[in-house]
Amino acid sequence: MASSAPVRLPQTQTALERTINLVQALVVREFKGRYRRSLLGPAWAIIQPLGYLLMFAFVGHVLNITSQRVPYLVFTCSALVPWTFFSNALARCAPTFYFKAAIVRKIALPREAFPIAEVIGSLVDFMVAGLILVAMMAWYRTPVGWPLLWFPMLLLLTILLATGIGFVVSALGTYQFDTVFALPFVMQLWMLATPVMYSFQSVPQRWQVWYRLNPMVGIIEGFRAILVLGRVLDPVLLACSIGSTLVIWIIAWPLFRYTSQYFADVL
Amino acid sequence: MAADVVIAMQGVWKRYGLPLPRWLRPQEQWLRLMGNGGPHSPQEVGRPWVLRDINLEVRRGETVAIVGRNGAAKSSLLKILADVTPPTRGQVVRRGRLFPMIEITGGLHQELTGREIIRLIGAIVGLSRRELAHLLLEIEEFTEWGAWLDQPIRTYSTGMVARLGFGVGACVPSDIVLIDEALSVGDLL
Repeated sequence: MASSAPVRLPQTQTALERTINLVQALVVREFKGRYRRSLLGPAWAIIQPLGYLLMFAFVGHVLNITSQRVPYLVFTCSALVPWTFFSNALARCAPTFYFKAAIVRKIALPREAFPIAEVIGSLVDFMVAGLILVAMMAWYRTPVGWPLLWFPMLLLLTILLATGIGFVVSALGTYQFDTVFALPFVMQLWMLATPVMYSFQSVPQRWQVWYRLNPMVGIIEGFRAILVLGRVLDPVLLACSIGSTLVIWIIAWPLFRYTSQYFADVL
Repeated sequence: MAADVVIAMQGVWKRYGLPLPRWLRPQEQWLRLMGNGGPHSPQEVGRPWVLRDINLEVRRGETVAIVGRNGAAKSSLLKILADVTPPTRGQVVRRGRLFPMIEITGGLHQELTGREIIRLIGAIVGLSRRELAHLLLEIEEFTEWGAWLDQPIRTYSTGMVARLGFGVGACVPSDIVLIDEALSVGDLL
C-alpha cells in the first residue's frame, strides 16, 4: 500500500441517518430559499385556503349545505386546512425530481428524501394555515375536548398517505411531465369527492360503501370530528383510511424503489 | 482483487431507458414470437448500447483520465462510477467515500448563501455534522472570503462560483474524486 495514503474517514452514517440528514437539509433549503424574493412570504400559506374559504361560504350558502349544528365556516375550515396540506404536498412532490435534476443526475443519494422533504415542507404551510382555523374556532367559541388528543395520530396518517402517493406522483412525474399537468385537475376532482364542503352524512347511503374507499374521507371526517364536533373518530371510516393507506404503500414503495434507480437516465 | 484497488468495473454494459418487465414490452415479445431476438442476441430490441463490456481497475493514489470524442459516453461511465445510474449488466465495486465533483454547484438554489450551499452539499454527499463544521472552516480558509460567504450565490461572479465548487471538492475528505468538466464551470441553473 502506498505510504502517502490519505486519511481514511470511517463511513459513520447509515442509510437511514443519511436520508434523515438529507431530508432535514432539503426542508431547510426549501424554507429559506422559497420566500426570499417574495413580498408576502409565508402569508401565501394563508391566502390560498382563505380564498377557498370565502368561496365555500358563498357556495355553502347558495346550496344550503347542512353543517351539523356548527357554523358552516368552522365546519368547512376544519376540513379545508388539512385538505390543503395534502393537496399541496402532492403538488410539490410531482415535479420535485425535475426541479432538482441537476443534483439527482450527478450524485448518488437516497432519492426517497426528495418526496419526503416536500411533504414535510408542506407541513410548515399547514401550521401557518392552521392559524386561520384556530382564529376561527376562537371567534365562534368552538368547545374543544379530549377527542383533540387524536390529532397527532390523524396528522401522522395524513403524512403517511401523502408520502405514499407522493412516491407515486414523483416517480410518474419524472418520466412523464403530464403527471404534473394533470395533478391540479385531479386534486380538484378529488376534493369534491371528499367531504370538505359537505359532511359525510349527506352522502346517500347506497354510495357510502364506495365513497369510503377514498382514503381522505376518513381522515378529513376525523379532523372535523375531533376539531369542531368534539367527537371521537368513526372507527369504520378510520379503518378504511388506514387500510387504503397501507395498500397504497404496498404498491408505491416498491414502484418508487425500482423506478428511482433510473431517474438519472431520463432527467 | 488486490487490497489497494479502489475502483473495479467488470464487464459493464449500459443502455439508457427504464428496463420494463418483459410483458410490458410488446415489440420484443412480438419479435420473439417471430423467432429471432433472445435476451442476449445482437438483435435485441431497445435503445443502443452506450457502453459495451467496460473493464477498469483503479488503485489507490492513481489518477486516471478518460479520453474520447463527444458522445463517446465518458460522462455515462462516470455516472455509473458515481452510482447515479445502475449498469444494465456487469458489476462495479468501489471502496471508500466517493465524491463526484461534477459541476457541483449546478442546480442549487440561487437565493441561498455560500454557507447554506456548503451545508446543503454536505448533506447531499452525506457528511456527518462534525465533518460539516470542519468543512465550513476549511472552505472559509480556502476561499478567503469571510463575509462573502453570507451573501446569496446569485450575487457571485462565475469565477467565485467555480472557486466555491472547487473548494468544496478539495475539502471534502474522500477516497475517490470524480471530475467531469468541473473546472469549466458556468452552467449554474
